[in-house]
Amino acid sequence: MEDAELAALAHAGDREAFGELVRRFAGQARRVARAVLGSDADADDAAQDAFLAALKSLGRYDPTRPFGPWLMRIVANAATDRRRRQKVRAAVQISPQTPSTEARPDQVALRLEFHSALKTALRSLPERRRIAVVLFDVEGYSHQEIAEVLNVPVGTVRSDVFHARRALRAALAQWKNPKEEIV
Amino acid sequence: MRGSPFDHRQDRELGETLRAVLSAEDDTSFVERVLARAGELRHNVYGVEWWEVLSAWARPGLVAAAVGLIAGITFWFSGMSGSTESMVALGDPLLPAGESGLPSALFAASQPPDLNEVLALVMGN
Repeated sequence: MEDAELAALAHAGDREAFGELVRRFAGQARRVARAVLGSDADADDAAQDAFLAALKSLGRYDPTRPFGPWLMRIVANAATDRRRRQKVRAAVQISPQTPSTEARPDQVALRLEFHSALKTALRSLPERRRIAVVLFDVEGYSHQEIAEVLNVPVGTVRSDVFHARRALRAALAQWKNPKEEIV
Repeated sequence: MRGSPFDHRQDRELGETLRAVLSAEDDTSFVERVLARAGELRHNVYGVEWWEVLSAWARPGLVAAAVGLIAGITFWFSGMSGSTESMVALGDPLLPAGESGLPSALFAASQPPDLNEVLALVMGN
């Protein structure tokens, strides 16, 4: 069944249809939220908020347009709002996956360090670039769709993806050899 | 990864790497959590039927009615028990102790007082 059909059923009160939509987009929504938020728990909370907000707003969804970008816009907004509130609270928390300075030779430790370095590189990017590169290279959205998600011109999306890729590649260059073994 | 960041196609290698970093381990429990929360918020999401509105108002309405009834009964009984005291209290400060200002015969008699007697008292005779 198409996303738009499920959305219509969910809007009419069909819980199974809403469940199917959540199942289809859970991974995507959580990844986008994680790209914005430092804490995985916060990201899941934001993704959940987004799904519930989407459920309440299904009446405003245009079924002639793809459902994914519409939902991802809500996810991005929910994550951004939560991140803004965190900034207001000014709670500085050290991620448990902060790269360790100790040398750990085993593969698991190496993979954790690699993932941590990539996360650090991703979080060093401006929020909009993070979302743009994740939607483009991870989720396969087009520039046009991402422009709708972020509410910016397509040219801005192209620029964001370009700068994000360049920064990520530079940051990951030093991990090139280990990465080939561990990813 | 491709060499040029200008590439308009997806960079599969970068994409897969980011996916591995950002993906959560268990989507199933997340989905269950969202659906459970959606179930809790069902009334807000899908709207509330009229009988649910009435039933929601019924309990606080009954409580308010009970409280009002108890308050009314309390006020009624306290007014009845205090009415004699208040009448006495108004009269006492104006008169010497033991006098009511009217002949005791007017109150002690079992029959209504004679009209001439009442007029004589009023006119000072």
